[in-house]
Amino acid sequence: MPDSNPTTTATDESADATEPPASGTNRAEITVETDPREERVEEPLLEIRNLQLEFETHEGTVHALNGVDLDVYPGEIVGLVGETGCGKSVTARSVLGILDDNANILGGEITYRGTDLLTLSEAERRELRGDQIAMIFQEPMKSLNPAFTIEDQLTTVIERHTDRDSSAARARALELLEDLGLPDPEDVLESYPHELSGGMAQRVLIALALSCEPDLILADEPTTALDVTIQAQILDLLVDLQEKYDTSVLIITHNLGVIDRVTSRVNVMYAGSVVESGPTGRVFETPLHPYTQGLVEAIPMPGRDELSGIDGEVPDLDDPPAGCRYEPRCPVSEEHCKTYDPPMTVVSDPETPERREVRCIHYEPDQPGDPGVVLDE
Amino acid sequence: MSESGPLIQVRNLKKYYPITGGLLGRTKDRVKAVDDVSFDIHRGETLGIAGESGCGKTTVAETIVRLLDPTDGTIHYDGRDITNLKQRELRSLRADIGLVPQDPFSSLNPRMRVRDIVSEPLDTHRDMDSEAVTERVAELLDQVGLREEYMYRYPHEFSGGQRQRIAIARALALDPSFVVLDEPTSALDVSVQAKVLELLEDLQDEFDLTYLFITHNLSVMDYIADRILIMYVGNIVERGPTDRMFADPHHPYTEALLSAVPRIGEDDDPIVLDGDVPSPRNPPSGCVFHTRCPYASDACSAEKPVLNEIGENWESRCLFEDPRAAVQRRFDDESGAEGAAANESTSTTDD
Repeated sequence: MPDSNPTTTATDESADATEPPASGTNRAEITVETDPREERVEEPLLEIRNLQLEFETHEGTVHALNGVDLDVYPGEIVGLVGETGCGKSVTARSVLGILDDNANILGGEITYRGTDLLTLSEAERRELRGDQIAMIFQEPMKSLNPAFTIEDQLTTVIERHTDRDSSAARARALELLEDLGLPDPEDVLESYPHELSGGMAQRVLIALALSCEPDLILADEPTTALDVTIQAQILDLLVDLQEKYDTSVLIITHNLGVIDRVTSRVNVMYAGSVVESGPTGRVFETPLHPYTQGLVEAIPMPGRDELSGIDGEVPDLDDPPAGCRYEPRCPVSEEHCKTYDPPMTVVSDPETPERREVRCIHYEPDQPGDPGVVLDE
Repeated sequence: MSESGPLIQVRNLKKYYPITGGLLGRTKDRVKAVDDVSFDIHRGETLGIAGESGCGKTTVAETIVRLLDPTDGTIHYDGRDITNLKQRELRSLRADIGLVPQDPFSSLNPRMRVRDIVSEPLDTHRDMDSEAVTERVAELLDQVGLREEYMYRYPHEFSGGQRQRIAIARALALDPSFVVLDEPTSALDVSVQAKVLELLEDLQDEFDLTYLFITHNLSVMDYIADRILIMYVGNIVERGPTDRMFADPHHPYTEALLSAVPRIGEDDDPIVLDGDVPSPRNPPSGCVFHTRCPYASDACSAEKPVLNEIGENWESRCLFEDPRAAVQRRFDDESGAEGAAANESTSTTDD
C-alpha cells in the first residue's frame, strides 16, 4: 500500500541535496537513502499506517490521532513512549477494537498478519482478541474482577479460547502461574484479587494475557502502578516470557528508562503522531526530533545539574496547530512549520544498520534546516 | 527564633496504628508504620525521604508537622518541643509550614477560583483586606511563574504543571520557613516535572526555604536533595549526603533500589530483589531487609543492626562493614570459587 504510506524515501538525487548547508555550526551529517542498508526481511506482524482518529465530545471534536505509523515485528519487544494525552493508549485500543463509542476512525490501516483489522466485523475482531492479540492494562487491581477467584478468571478465559475442559484449564492455569514466578500457585488460584499484592496481581494479569498464547501482547503502562523493585521483577519477567512464548510485545509507557531497559526499538509519540522511531539505544543517545531531544534532556540523571524541561504546554487537541503539532514549543521551528505537517522521513544513521525515521521538516531532503544533531562524529 | 541548631530535630519517633477486633474492640496488633526514627533537618537544606509504598515516608512527614500524633518520641521545631502541642497552640506552627500535596488534580477545590485557593491560608492566619489579599495573590502567582489574571479562573482550566504551581503558591502564602513536599512531581509528565523542580530550587534560594521532599523517584531525589533518608518498612536503613550515597550506596537495599531504577543509557543489569516488601504489621525479625537481602546471613534474622557511621554524616543500618564487597562477590561469576575464602562475616549465601 505505497499510496497510504506517508513515509517518504528520498531519491538518489535528493540524497545529494541533503548534504547539510554550509552555514552554521554543529551540522548534522545525515544522509537520506533510497533503501536503508539493511531492510528487514520479515514482514511486520502488526503494521499501523496513517491512523487518524477523532473523539466527539461535548466541547467539540478532539483530533486525537493525526496519522500514526507503527510496526511490530515478530518476536520483538517494541516501545511506544509519550506523555499524557499523546494518544498512545488510544493507539493500542484501536488495535484491539475496544474504543469508546464516541471515537471515529477517519482513515488509515491497522494490518495484522496481512488483514486490515478495520475491515473486520465485531465478531471477527472478538475472535482475535485474547486468541491472537492480548492486552495488559495499567492498574492490575482494577483489571481483575474483585468478585471472582483468580482460578475462575483464568480458567474462564482458557476454556473459552482453547479446547481444554475445566480440569485441563486448571492445570494450564497452574502452569502459567508457575511460569510467572508466583511462589504458591495453588494458593494464588484460590485467592481473590484483594488478597494479592500489586506485583502479584500484575503477574496474574500477565498470566491472563499469556493464557491463550497470543502472538502479540499490548502492555499499557504495565509497571507504572508498581514500586521500583517490583517493577524490576516484572520487567525481567516480561523479557523472559517474551523469549519463552516467542510472542511480540508492544510496551506503552511514559517512562523512557523502562523503554530503554526492555525494548529493542522505540516509537516516540507526541500529540497524536509518532514523531520518531528507531533502535532504542540510538534514539536515546542521539535523539533526532526536537521533541525527543527535549524529553531526554528533561530526565533527572546522575551528574545532570540542570534540567531544561520543555517550554509551553501540550496543544489542545480540539484545536491542534495546523502544521507540525510540536511547532509552538519547538526551539528550532521555522515559519514553514506553522502550516506544514511533515511526513515520516527515513534517516540513515552510520552507527546502526536499523531503520530510523523522524517526522520533522529538518530531515526532509528537499527542505532547508538544521536539526542540530551530529550523527557521524 | 533561635538561629542556631537544626530547624527540626526528631528523636526516636514512633507511629503505631492499633488493629482492633473482637467484641470489646481490644487492640489485637499494631502496624508499626514508623518505628524509632531519628534525624535532623538543617536550615536551608533539602532533606529527602525515599522508599517504596508503605515504608512510612509520608507518615514521618505528617507526624513531624503534627498532622498525626506520634505514638512515642520527640519532635523539636526551631528549638521548641512541639511533640505535645494542643491544636490551638499548633496554629502558629502551621503558619510557618507550607504543604505541597501530591496530586494537583484532587488537591485543589474545583469550585474555588485560584484567588480563593491561594489566599485561604491568609484568611485563616492574617487579617488582611480584600485589596491586600489580591495584591499578595498576584505577587505569589508571579513568583511561581503564572500570570496574574489566572487568579479569576478555576482549577479545571489548568494543566497538571500549572495546578502544581498553584499549589506551591498557596503553600508559600504565609512566608513559611519550612515546606513539606509529598511527591510533588509524581503526577506530572517528565518535561513538566523538570520545570517544576527548577522552580522549587529557585524559590528555595530566593526565600531561604527548608524543604522536606518525599518521593519514590530516586532520579528526582538525586537532582533535588542535599541529604537523603532511605526508609524500608518503617525504619531508616541508610542516611547521608545524596551525592556520596548515590555514587557508592552502602546498604544493600539502597543499592538494589538505585539499581532497579530504569535509566536511559545504562548497560548494567539491574539487581532484582526477590519477593514483596514485608508488611509493617508483621515486620521481619532482626534486620527488616534480611528477607530480601541478596546476601543475608543467619545473624541478620537474629540481630537488629543499629545505624552505624560509615562516613562523615553518613550512616547505614547493616551488620556488615562492607556489604557492597559481598554483593559484588555474589554477582561476580567467580563468586563460587572465592565465596568461602573472602567471607569474613559469613555474609554470602550462594545458592
